[in-house]
Amino acid sequence: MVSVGAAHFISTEAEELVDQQERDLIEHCQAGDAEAMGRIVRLYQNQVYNIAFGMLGNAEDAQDITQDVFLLVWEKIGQFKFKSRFSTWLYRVATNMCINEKNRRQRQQTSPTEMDDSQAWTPIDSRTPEKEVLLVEQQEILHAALAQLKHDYRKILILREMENLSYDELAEVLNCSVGRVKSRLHEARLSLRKVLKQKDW
Amino acid sequence: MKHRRIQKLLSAYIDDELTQQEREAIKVHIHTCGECAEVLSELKCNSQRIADLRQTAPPGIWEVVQAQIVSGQRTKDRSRSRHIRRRWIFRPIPAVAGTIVLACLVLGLIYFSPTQNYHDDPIDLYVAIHTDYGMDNFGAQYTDINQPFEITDTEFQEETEVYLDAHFGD
Ligand SMILES: [Zn+2]
Repeated sequence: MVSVGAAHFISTEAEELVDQQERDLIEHCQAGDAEAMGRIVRLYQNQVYNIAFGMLGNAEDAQDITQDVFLLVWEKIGQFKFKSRFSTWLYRVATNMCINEKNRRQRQQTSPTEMDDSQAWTPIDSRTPEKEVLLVEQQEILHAALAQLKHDYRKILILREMENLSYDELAEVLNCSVGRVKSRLHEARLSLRKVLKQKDW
Repeated sequence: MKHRRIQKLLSAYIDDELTQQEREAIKVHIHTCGECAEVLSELKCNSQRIADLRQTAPPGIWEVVQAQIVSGQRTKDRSRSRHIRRRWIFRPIPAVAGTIVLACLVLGLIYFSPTQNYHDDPIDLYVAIHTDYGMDNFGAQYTDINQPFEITDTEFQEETEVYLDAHFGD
């Protein structure tokens, strides 16, 4: 999996090269090049999928929203003016779409903590089945706990813990000051801790 | 620093977003305050748990997006969709194959139509209806239904053979 955190180990020059390549890709997309869009999707699909999974709590919805996010990106990419990082623009689109979806579902009176266990967790290395069952249960508890949080808290936690965004990047996505990021992230973590404690975690 | 102030900085401490001074102050405080140490370890643990939720996106996301992009292409970018169409239709091999199939269909239709007894060779009729010569004499087949329709001009026949060889021969 491509980790944003790995960027810390890339030299500045390499980073600039990656930035330039990404800029080229975006410009190609803006000119209507679907193949360039395909590369953008492959570069960012894991990140968008994980944001969606974290925000919505189930695999099926996460997949649908991930596709919708990239479709919207394709439609709106002409509006991206390189004033922010593409990733932060993309994450803002993704989190907003997830919140819209969540609100739409709540209006339809679907339980926000409803879990989807139809899709088995991808087994990694040599986990025994019992351990896997336990892992799935733990993940379900976590998703349920995240679902109980305020949208703002869930959003900042996912972007920080899953996508490893720096406070600067968080401020960009959330459109607020770094100071606000600091306090909100801490509130969000305390809130999650409280919910998990109620679940005897 | 006081306990309350320290607690507010624990998240930034985990994320390494503090000044050297703040970091040192927290390290010192944690050694003496069990509560802050406990909160810190729990927050760290929960962060890791959320990070562990990460997984690889299911396959086929681009394929779905691509299909919708292509079907919606007409409204987004007309020139590009025209370009795609042109590329497919005007490729030489499909174009030639298409023409041959069409010609066979037309000839086959004519061959097996009720007028077939007038033309043992479908090429004759093909030439007749597709040339001025044929068009000039087109009505002949209707004036006398028992009169075979023939091309009598030998010079024209030679010309058409050359034409047909050039276009339909190997
Ligand atoms: Zn303390």
